[in-house]
Amino acid sequence: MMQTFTQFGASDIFSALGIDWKMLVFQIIGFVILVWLMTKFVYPPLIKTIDARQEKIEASNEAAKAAEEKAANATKEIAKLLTEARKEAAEIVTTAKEEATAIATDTEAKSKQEAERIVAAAQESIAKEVLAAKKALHNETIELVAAATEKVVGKNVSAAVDAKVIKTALEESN
Amino acid sequence: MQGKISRRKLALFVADAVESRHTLGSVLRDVAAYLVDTKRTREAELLVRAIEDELAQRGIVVAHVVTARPLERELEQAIKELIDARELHLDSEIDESVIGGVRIETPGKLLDATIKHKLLALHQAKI
Repeated sequence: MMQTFTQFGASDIFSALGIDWKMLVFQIIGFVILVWLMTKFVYPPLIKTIDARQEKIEASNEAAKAAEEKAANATKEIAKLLTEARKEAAEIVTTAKEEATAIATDTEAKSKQEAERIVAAAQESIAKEVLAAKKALHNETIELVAAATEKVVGKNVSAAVDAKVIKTALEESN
Repeated sequence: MQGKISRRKLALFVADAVESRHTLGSVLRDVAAYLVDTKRTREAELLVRAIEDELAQRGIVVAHVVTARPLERELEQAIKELIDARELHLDSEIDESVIGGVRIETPGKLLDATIKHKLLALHQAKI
């Protein structure tokens, strides 16, 4: 190649192509130095920063996953709590209904009992009043009969009637 | 000093005298004197009843008869038949308040068939 270059003249080709080979070498050296500088001073902190960021992102992802799991668990827990709460509420409602029914039944029975007692008391009172009225009538009748008999018989008992009364009494007791 | 003679013994003593009839007058006087002497005159009524009871046991009955009018002989006879005693003494009393009928009281028995009693019974029938 060098022979070709030298044959045709290397500087002539670079010149023909518009390349200054001295400049090119200089640029290559400069590029190598830049790469070395970058490798030495720029890339390590950059990579470190990237790694740190990567770690942060991974930690964030894990935290997000954990949060998601927690959220899922919390949802499950909430659902469970809701189910229990509904069940408990249903039990409370059922108990309340049963108690209300029992109270209503008890109240009804008590009311019925009280009504029966009042009716019985009224009937007893009426019966007593009727009995008292009957007694009063009976006594009044006796009183009237006795008074009338005493007045009529006391004046009209003749000796013959008296003798007949005595005779009858003696015969009855004989 | 002798102890107190019981009413029962006195009644027996008088009943014996009534039955024998010989010493009745003196016995009654003695008993009356005894009652006065022992200050037991309050017991006279009870003693008479005791004597009547004793005599009734021996068949001698004293019947206390109360009527509004004097008893006819026929009714007296009916009363004697009713009482059925060996010896009957009727102690009749007229009491107009009985209105009518008869009340016969013998020791241990009482028949009250007076109109007054019946009216009283009617009064007592009140409730």
